[in-house]
Amino acid sequence: MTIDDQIICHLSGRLDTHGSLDLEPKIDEITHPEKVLVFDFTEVEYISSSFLRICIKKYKQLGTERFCVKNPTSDIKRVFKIAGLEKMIRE
Amino acid sequence: MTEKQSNPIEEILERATYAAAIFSQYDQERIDKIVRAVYLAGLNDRIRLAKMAAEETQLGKWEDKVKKNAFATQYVYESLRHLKTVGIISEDERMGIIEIAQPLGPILAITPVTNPTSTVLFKILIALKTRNPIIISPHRRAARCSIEAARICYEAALSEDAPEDCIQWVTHKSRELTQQLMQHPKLALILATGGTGLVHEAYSSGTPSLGVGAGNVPVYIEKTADIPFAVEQIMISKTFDNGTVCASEQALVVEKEISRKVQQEFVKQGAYFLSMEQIRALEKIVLMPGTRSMNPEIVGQSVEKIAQMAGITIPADSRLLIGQLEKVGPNYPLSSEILAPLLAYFEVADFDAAVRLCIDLNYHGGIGHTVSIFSYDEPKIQKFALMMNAGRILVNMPSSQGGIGSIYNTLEPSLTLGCGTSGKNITTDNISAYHLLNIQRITRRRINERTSRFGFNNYLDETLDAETLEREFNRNY
Repeated sequence: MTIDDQIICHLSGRLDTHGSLDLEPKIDEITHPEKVLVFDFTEVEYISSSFLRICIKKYKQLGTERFCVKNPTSDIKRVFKIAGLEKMIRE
Repeated sequence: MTEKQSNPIEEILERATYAAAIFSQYDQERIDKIVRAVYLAGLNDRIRLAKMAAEETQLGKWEDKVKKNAFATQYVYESLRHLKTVGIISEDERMGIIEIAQPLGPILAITPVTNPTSTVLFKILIALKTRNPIIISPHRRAARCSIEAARICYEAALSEDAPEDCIQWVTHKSRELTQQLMQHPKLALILATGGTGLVHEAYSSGTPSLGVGAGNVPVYIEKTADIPFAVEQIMISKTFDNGTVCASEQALVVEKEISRKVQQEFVKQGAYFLSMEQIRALEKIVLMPGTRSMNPEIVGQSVEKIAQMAGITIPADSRLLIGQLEKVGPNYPLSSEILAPLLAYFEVADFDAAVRLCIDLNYHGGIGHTVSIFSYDEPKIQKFALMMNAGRILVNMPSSQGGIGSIYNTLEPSLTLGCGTSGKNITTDNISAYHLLNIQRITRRRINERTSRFGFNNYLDETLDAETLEREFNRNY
């Protein structure tokens, strides 16, 4: 999961409410204040409100420099765009 | 969803925006499951919400509010259930047009005191069906029951995995905050039902708005009408929830020839004709002294209460009060819109005089809303309709239940009735889910035969005048 100072989470499928609840403590566990947390969305088909909340939490916790979302599909990119959270996406 | 921010307006809109984003991923099947769950929850709680509304607002009748809640859920759901509102909604190969439905974004729903829970249920259903988050801003005198209606809908929506905060409500009473909400750049639409001032504020906010105007519904009983039937229908309508529906009849217009029969029938069916003295007493209480607008204290009250407020005595079994007037206008307060079981009555010489008077009533505060006629004379019905400025011209039906659609006719079921530009609205339609969509059109090449044959360069020829151009453009077409 870790490449140098980056922690890359390869997520996949539908990040629904239940899945997000399971994921949250795991993500909290791997979060490191001095490393960049990256959510790789290449294989993510859907995100729920709960997962969006995790993204917002991490963004607030780590800041622009240390948190980002990568490789969203067009559907997911649009979610971030509508939400006004496109700043989280690093292409 | 996020940490508490200092500005509640920002937080509400931020949450609504996140909900809109999540909603963008939902397909029709998921949306329809959410809508069904919300409809069933609203219908199940129809009686409890109605009792809460009647108790809190102290207006109307709880039994009729139950029916309004049932209308706002069951009738509205039936009109929505097969409607396509997500993605491609129509394909016309011949025209080369494919229509795509997209949501609008966060909607602010301003809801009234007269139909509080039913309007909340209605607006939530049409918003969710179209994947739009909704923020309910209830009338301050109906806040508790409106918020409870919103809360049960939200719970039901979440049970079907709807986005968090797809339904929110505001509890503040400050007008300033409502204005801030209305003007917020993240807000997509205001769905305003309420007083004229509030609807005007919505339209002035800079945010696209669907509002409603005030009504002042004339009902013309033309001489071919079936009098006992007409009277029965008007009694059903005007006594419903003590007259709180804005499409309810306000003034009867009757030709002299049948006036006696009409009056006898009204008395037979429980109406009471006021004496001149009693009319004078009522005139003092029906309007607000300064603004000349309807006195909110009288709205939705029973005839007994109204009589008590005016200090007049009426027969114990009266169901409706009727006051005969000479003219329409500010000097005749009973000719204005009054949402209570109280009707004005005008006797006229003939058809033309009736239409002239209905024009006066229509333009006296009710322009663009609804008018009603009882008649079996088709040419007269049409002439009457052509002279009126009204979104709905109801024929041979109770106007309260007729205006809101789908019970007595095939109009869209709605608790938000457009009044056209004269009523300062953008549409005369009964507002429905369709109005809460941005329709995108994929359009394919279908070249106008005249364009390919005639060619735009002909317009550069100075020797061709307009009539020649018209002839050549349409040659052999």
